[in-house]
Amino acid sequence: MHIEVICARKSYGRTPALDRVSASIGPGQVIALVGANGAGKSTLLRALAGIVRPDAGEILYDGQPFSTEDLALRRRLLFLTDFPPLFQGGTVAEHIGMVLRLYESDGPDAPEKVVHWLRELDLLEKAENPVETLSRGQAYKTALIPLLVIDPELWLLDEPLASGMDPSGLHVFRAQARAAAARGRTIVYSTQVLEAAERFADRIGILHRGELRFFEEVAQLRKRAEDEGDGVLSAVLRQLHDEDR
Amino acid sequence: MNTIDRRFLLGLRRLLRREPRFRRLDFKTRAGLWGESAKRMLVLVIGAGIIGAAPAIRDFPLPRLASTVVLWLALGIVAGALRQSLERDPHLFVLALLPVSDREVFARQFRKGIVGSWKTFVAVALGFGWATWKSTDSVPNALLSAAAFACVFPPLAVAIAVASLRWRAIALWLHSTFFVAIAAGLLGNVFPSVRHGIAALLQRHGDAIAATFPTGWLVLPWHAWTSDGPHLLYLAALPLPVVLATIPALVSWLRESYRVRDSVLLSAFGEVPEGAPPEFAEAVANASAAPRSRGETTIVDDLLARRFLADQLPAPTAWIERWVWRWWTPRQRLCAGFLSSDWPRWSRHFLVSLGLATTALGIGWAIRTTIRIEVWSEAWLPVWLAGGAVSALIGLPFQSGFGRGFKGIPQGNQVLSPFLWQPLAFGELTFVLLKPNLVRTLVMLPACVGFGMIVAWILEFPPWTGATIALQISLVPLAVFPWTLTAGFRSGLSTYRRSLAAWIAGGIYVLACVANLAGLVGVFFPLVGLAVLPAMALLNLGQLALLRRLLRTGKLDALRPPGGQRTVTTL
Repeated sequence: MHIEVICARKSYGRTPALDRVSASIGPGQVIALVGANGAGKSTLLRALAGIVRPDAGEILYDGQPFSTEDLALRRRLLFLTDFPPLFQGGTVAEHIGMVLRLYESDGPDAPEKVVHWLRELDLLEKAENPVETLSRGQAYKTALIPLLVIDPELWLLDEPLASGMDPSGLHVFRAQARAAAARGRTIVYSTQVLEAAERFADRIGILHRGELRFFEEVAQLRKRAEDEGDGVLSAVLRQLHDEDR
Repeated sequence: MNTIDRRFLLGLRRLLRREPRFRRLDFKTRAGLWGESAKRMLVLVIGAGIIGAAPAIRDFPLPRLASTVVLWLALGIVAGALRQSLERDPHLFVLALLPVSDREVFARQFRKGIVGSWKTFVAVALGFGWATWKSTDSVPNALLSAAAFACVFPPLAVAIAVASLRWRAIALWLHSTFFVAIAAGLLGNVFPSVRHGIAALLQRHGDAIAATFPTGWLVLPWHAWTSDGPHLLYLAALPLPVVLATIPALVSWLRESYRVRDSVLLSAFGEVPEGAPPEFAEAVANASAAPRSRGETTIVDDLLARRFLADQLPAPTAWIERWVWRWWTPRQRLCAGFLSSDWPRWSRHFLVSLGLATTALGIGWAIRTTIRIEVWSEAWLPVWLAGGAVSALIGLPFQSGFGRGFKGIPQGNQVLSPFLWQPLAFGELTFVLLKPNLVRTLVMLPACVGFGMIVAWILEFPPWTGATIALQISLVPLAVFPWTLTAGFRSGLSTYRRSLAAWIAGGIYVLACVANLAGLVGVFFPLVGLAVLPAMALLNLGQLALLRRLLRTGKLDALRPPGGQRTVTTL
């Protein structure tokens, strides 16, 4: 899916959350959004998911604007928030089943895939447990499994690296996101773990006070910061912070 | 949040920041749903107390029952506030992690619950003062009555509330009297047109019914005093000193058994705040331990058999639920599963309602035939009230009134959550919720019309009068339904968006609220309702369509976190 963000602006009252953000995201890319707290990362992800709409500007998905009633378009993307909502009252398996059905991904091979991911993420024993009894990391994994099975064209994830998942869960997520990108899927996620973002992203978007200050490949950022080390993002963010002062 | 709470939280935050291990605590708190329902209950108390019981106290045939119901509702508020404070208060999450003894927490939360009920205490005192003034035309009597209730009701309410916290059976008993309270209140309305002879008879039986309420016996001496009734009723006040004397023991008993961490665990749903002491985490793990797994092989077999892809809502067996199920499309059944994991008991509620209405009519008919009653045949109002009461008697518990009938199927804001996070269309959700309403209205309609006609016949009015009012009232929930959906959705929307379209939609919403209110009044006038109802329905459908359009075109933001999820407070 090709996503075009055109001069998107969004404010909450007088506080600007997105300020003339423009970006072009092609298929098969892994994009990491970084920035200070309140920089606009979550708002940009929400805007990409259609949950908030820009006050000005627009976001096009293969040239098509978002509409809440366009279920075909909505099925092409899936957004995992930092605390993904699970359907209270149901079990892990029931939650997964319902999301798969809504995304019309409950084909003949769906059960095998679900069993596979439950096993991989160490959740098989919990499959019949109520979602209320899960720890935060397990809840995130429960929400992640439909994403892995559905494999939508656009993966949107808010702070997946700080989701409470254990190392093996994080490994599964990274490996599958990489594989999905190789299949032409687009992965956009936000994070505060800068070292991980440097290693696990094709492009990095640095948001600062609602502005997308940089949207470049890691190598380009390194060149710009004249820093060959792994701490390039820290250096850029420090630089932005100093500019404010 | 009031000033005391804010000050407390700020102080707590400062305290926590001094303690390194608590610096990065991440607490989850539950929204104060009880607080909301308490506000509604307060409105009920004030409304029922002042409008219902007091001004009509002389002619109303069941003053004791009405007063009893008012006191019962007030008691419910106090018990709810105390339970909220001691078991569900978000502060308990913080307090459970601090080096504070259970006794200290209990003292603070108990005080908070009682102090938080002051409005209820004032409302009760004012309501009964007003009722006394209307009954005796004496200001000193009114003041005396208000003062007496201000002194007696709070400790009595606290005693019963504490007892209900200590012994759950009492709480269940209070809960079970809810339907009886509604039925008794409505029963009183069925006979507003009869005069003093029958009123005396009803009052005699009313005493027995009133005495079954936890507050009934308190009303009896008050009523004897205001109406110069039999002095024997003063004896009903005798248990009062005994109850008051037991309060210290009751409170002490509750305090000794109070464990703040258990209370937190009740609402924690197994969540362990980051950085919590190990014993807390252990206690949470034990409390929320899931049932023992059935074994991997069995689970895999079940998954491969596609059971988890079946409808979340099981196919119902009860007849009304079955009709709804058949009418829903497979996709709508799936959506319904998102909204509720279990069926509301519509069929059962309907039977209960029919039983209540039949009993009320039976009593009315027996009284009408055995005793000579002078009917106010010159007035229209009594028959409309009577028809309305019977319709309500059938309709309210079944249709939605008092929140019983709709239990299990969410409305409004709760449907926003799946709409936001899953590929579900606004229209789909609307139809999922509209169909049960249509079915229930269709089921209810013949019964309401029939009962309305019988009431009219009992009161010697043309049957069509009762049928018309019953029809009008039965259709109200359907006409108002799109508005309730709109209101619910609106309450979940972002308040930041200030487009012109949003302002216009807001203005129309306010107008619709006023129009609906006027329409509800209009329904109680002859034939007006039949014209008013379609207008209300059209207006409400129009604004629902407008909301859908605004959401679709992005003129409004649906930004709130999912309904029913706990909000996150980071200290």
